[in-house]
Amino acid sequence: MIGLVIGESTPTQIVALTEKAQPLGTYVKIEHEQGDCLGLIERSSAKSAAMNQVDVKDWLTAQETVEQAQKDIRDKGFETKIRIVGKIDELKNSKTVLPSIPPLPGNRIFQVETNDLKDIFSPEDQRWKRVGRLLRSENVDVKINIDKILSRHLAILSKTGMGKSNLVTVLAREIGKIGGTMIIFDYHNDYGGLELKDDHDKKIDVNQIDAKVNPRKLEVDDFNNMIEIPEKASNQREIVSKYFDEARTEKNFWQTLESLVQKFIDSGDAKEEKLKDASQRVIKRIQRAQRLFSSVIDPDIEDPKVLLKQFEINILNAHEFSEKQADIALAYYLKTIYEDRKSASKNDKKEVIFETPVLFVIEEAHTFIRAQIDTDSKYWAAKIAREARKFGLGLCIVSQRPYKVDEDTLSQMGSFALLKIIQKRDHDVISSSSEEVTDEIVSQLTTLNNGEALFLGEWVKIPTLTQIDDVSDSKRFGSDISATDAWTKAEIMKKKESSQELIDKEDLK
Amino acid sequence: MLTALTNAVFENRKKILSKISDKINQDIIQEAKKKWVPYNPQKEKSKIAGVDSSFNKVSFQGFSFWAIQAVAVDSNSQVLKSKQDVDLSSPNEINLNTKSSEFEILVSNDVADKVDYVLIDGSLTSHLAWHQHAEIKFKQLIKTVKQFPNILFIAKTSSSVHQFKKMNAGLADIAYYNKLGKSPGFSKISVDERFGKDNPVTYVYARVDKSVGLFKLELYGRGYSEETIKLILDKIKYNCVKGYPFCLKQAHNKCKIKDEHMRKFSRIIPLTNEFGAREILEA
Repeated sequence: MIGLVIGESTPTQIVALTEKAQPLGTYVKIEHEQGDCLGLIERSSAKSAAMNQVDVKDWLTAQETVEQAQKDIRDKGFETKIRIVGKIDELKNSKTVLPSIPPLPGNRIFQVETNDLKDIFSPEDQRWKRVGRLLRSENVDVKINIDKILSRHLAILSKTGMGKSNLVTVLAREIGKIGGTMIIFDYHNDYGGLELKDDHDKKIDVNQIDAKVNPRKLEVDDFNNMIEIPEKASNQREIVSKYFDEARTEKNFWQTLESLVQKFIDSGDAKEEKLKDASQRVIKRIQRAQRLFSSVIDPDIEDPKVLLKQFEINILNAHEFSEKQADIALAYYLKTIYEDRKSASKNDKKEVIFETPVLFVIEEAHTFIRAQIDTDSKYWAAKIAREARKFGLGLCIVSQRPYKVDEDTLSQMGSFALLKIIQKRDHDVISSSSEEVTDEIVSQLTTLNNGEALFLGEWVKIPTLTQIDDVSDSKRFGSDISATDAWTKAEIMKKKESSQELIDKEDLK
Repeated sequence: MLTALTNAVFENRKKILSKISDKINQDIIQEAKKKWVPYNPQKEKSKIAGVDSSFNKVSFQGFSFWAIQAVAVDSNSQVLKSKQDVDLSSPNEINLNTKSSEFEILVSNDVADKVDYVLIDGSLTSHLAWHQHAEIKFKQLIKTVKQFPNILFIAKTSSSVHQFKKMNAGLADIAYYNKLGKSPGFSKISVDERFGKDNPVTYVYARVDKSVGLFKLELYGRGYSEETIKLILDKIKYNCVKGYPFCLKQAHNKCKIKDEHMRKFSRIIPLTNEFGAREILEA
């Protein structure tokens, strides 16, 4: 026994006095007349009767009080606030059933048997895949329901550097092991060198693709954004609109567009000075786009979607795009895959790329699915979030700025992985997105360490504090660069080079 | 009313200040200085019990419902002994101060042989004063403190004026010892014989550490040496926080009877249908 229920209890919450201080996030067993319940420790506090009695405001008094307190075996009291998450027997059968009456004050609290924890957090069912271990119980694996990610979507949220992309990599590993399909829109090259292996150390197929856009496939407004004509440059935009449709059907897209605009200038139709000026700017933009963006805007590639492969982990490298370009590219891929999965699910005999479900991961989601700003990618992401579970297309949004993510889209996420989050406005957004997120849970988020997360929602049976597997050696990019390591190496190289010079000079003598 | 009172404060300011003014009390302070024994007690391991009592009552029309409790608590916060009583009485039938004093002596009697010292909160002379008209109780008290010379009395304050009355002191003696500074030490041993030469009360004002408050230490009897006082202070200091015995604070907390307790007790009896005095005022 580790404690006793005290004070006022409810069917969902108790306060307990424990023999020793209990770690936050520990699961406990609570004696209950309707069946023993599983509780999660949400708050843990310690008090000293002596320090509370005496007006301790100076150092000497504090020392004296501690001396007296140490003689008193009853001085320290440990109190915990415990959230009841369900009856243990029901949880083992994958049902979350809360008691209808509160546990009685005086009821006992115990450590949970490891086997019970394993039955709850690590089901044997093939839909459940291991992603880590229970935070306070090293021997208990944590598994998540992959099907629920696909059908109800997932949000991975935390401040920078706490392990979001590590978790995405773990998910990629598990999906890759069963031959599933995943697409990661990699805006910051976090997955550039991704290497995955299964349980037998065999390589899992990872398809690295440089995300490209074929301008011929775009709407003219998107094309204008792609070549970075400002929104307010209405004359320039109009000129491009005039000739875009013709250019897109010609073999030499860029040359055709440029020559059409040049003709416009030479013809004298551009009578007004500002029109002439705008036309010349358009030509410069077209030339600039060819010079700078040829790696990402390619009028001669096949439909970019054909580079994606089902049954593999696809990494769409988008780090060469500007933000606007990335938005257009992402919107393109989201729309394409949405329509592809829609066709596949209807069996309408159209040629499809993905005959089976797909998980689409959007890194840096706050850049594209922004609160109060409409973007093309936001439109498609929201549409997928609302509708695509019927087609087997799941969305996973990853962000270190939850408060910047569109709330409507966030509220469509059926599951959450919350790593360390400190800012209050981020807490507020998360609280409003999920009814499972209580004030106590939010306060716990600030105490999480790197790689620790709280899983909530449909992909787990109950809120689960997890130590995620560390797969950072699978990714060659994305981690913080050590400046001191790099400088030290460079210094060593400089010395080697100067030594080599001396040797070379010797040889010349 | 407050304005008039505030005006009175301004008018009497000089008079009030003069009573605590060092300049005016210079002679008395010098006299106090001569009576001061500087001494910094060294903590000596000891087993000490603190004794305190509490009483509370609910007044109804024509009677009071009261509760009294006294406890002896050791330095491990263990209650060694306690004594309680609850009853109904007519308003003048019982003196709760006297009864709580009686209980304090009874619990002290029961624990004195188990500890080095028993510290009772309050003044011995006050205890004697409460019982002086009840011969049996008075004798019982004397018998106890004679039998157990390790029963000591600690008072946080004192109204005694014996030492400096002849010098036209306007304040109690303890106030002048406070003026001497914040160093540890104790006043020269004095004996109070107001209860007769057969019932002497030895006392000192003591400070066990720098920059903490004074307390009055009283023992029954006479002939104590300064060395004995020093030994007592060494042992008391072992239990002190901010210059005051911690077990007395613990005893105070353990025996306290709050109004909410009395309300609960009233419901248990129950007395909730009786008219309370407050109800009359509100009628």
